[in-house]
Amino acid sequence: MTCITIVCSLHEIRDQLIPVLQQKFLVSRAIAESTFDDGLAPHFIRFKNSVHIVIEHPYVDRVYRDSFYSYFSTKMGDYKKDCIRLSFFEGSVNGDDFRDKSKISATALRYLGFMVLRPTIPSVVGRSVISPAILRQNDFISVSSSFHATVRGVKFQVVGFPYSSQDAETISCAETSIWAIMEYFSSKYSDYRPALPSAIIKALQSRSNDRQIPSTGLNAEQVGFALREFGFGTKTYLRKQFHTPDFIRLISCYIESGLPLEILIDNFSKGGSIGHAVLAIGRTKTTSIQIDKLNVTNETDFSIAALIKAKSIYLYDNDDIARDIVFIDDNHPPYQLAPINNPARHYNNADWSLCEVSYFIVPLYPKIYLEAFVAKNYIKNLLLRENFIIPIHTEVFIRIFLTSGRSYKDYLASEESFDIDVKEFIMDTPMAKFIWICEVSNKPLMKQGKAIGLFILDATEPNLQNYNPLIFAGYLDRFYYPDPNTRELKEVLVNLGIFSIYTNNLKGF
Amino acid sequence: MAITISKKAEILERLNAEGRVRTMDSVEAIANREEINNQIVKVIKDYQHKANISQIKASEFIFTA
Repeated sequence: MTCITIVCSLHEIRDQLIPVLQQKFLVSRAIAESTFDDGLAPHFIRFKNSVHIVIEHPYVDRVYRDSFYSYFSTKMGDYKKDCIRLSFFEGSVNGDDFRDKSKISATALRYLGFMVLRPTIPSVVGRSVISPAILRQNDFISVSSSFHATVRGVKFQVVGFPYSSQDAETISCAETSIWAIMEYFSSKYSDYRPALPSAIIKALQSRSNDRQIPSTGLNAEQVGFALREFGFGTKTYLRKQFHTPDFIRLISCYIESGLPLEILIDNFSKGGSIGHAVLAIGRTKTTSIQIDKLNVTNETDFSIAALIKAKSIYLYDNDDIARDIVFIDDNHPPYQLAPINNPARHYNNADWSLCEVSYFIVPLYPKIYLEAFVAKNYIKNLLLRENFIIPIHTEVFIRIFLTSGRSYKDYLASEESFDIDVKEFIMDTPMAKFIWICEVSNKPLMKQGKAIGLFILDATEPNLQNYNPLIFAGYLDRFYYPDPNTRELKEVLVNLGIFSIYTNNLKGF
Repeated sequence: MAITISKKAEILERLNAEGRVRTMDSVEAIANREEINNQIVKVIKDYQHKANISQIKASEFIFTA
C-alpha cells in the first residue's frame, strides 16, 4: 500500500476528492458526488478562496478506529478501517513546503486545520479541528484550544474547537457533543482525558435500559451523567424552571466565562418531534450600537428590583445583549452563528425554526461550588445594599463571569490601568482556583472596554453567609474586603479609577 | 539581602494612618449584613428547587436529531 498525497486549491477540490472517495470508500461515482455535494461542499463554501488543501490516504483516525472495532467490524458489510485526511493551508503549498527546512516554519504559520473523512457514507466528516481564520466570515470570539496534527509527516499546530458530524450509528448528536467537550478539555487541561465513542457508551451502561448501539440518542439526564463520569461538576438548567430572561442570561454568563455549553434544543412544546444537542462555544463581538440599544435589565428578583427602584438607578446587564451565539452543530459545518432564541436559524427549515433551547448543561470544574444564578444575585445584593455611593439616575452596567484566580492575577499583574494600591492589594490577596468577577461600568465606558468597579467572589465557596465568598468589592471611591481574622467587613476609601475589562476568557469583547 | 515585596500590609497601614480604613461594625452595617444573609438564603432555596426539578425532568428530553 502506498500513501497518496494530492495538493489542490479550493476550486479544484471537488474534481480531486470525488475519485479518491470513490476509490478508497468503494462507492459509485454518483454516491461519491452526492457525498461531496451534500456533506462536504457546505463546509468548503464557507472557506476563503485562498485556501489550499492536502488530501492524504490512508489515515488512521483514533476516533473512527474506535467506532470501527467496537461496532462497524461486527457487521457483515465490508467497512473500511482507513480514513482520508484533508489538511488546510492559507495560500498555495507544494512538496518542498514539507521537506525544505527553511520553508516548514513559514508553512506552519499558514496551517488552518484538518478534517478526517470516515468511510461512513453519507456522513463522512469525522474528527476535525478547523481554525476560525479559514472562514470568510469569522467576526466572532469563542473558546478554542491548540491541537497537533501532521501533514506529509511534518508536525503542525492548529487553534480551534473540535468538530465531527454524527455517524448516526455509534454516535448521534448527544454523543458527538460529549466527545467534542472532552476533546476540547483534554487538549487544554491535564485533569481530563479524551472520550472515544466506546468510552461514552461504556460510561452510560448503567444508565441505559435499552441497547446502546445503534444509537437512538441520549436524554438530558444521560448527557449530564456522562459528563460527571468524565470528571465534571455538571450543572443542569431547565428553561421551564427559570424565568426565560434569567435562563438566557445564565447561558450568556457561562459563555462569557469561556465554557463550552451543552445546549439541548427541541420543538416539543410546538407539537414537533425534533430534539437535538449542540454546543455553544462563543458569541459575536459586542458593538457600540448593541450597548447603546441595551434596555434596562428586567430584574426578576423582587427584592433586587425594589432596591433598583428605591435607588432610582438604571441597571444594565451584559447578559441582556442580544448577540449571536457560536454553535458547534454536528448537522452543519462548525462555527454556526444564530441567536439564542432561534438556535436552529441556520437550518432554514420550518420545523427546525420552531426549536428553542429547553435545557443547557454546564461542564463545570468539580470544585466550582457557587453557580451562576446564585452568584449573580449575591453580587447584585452587595452592589445595591452596601455603602457604595450610586447617585440617582446613574447608569450601572454589570458584566459577570467566571475565570480562574491564576488567569485573573496574570492579567492584573501586567494591567497598567489599575490604581496601583488597588492592584497590589488584590495581587497580595490569596485567590481561589476559580473566581466570579463582576465588572461595573456604564454604557460610554463599556463601549471603550473600561470599568470603574470590580467584585471578586470565591467560586469554591457555596456558604454565602457573613461575606464568606467575598474577596473584594470595589466601586468608584471605595472598596470592601472581609477581614481574614474576624470576617468583619472593612471599608477602604480609595478611588479605583478607570481600568480595562478582562477579555481573556473569549479573547475579546 | 532578601527583601519583602508584598505590599498589601504596607498599603493598609498607610491608608489606616490616613483614616481611610474603617471596620463596618455599626448597627446599620450589621443590619446590612443580616439583610444580605437573609436574602441570599431565599435565593439559594429558590435555586435549589429549580435545580432539583431540572434534574428530575432531565430524563424526559431525548435528543437524537
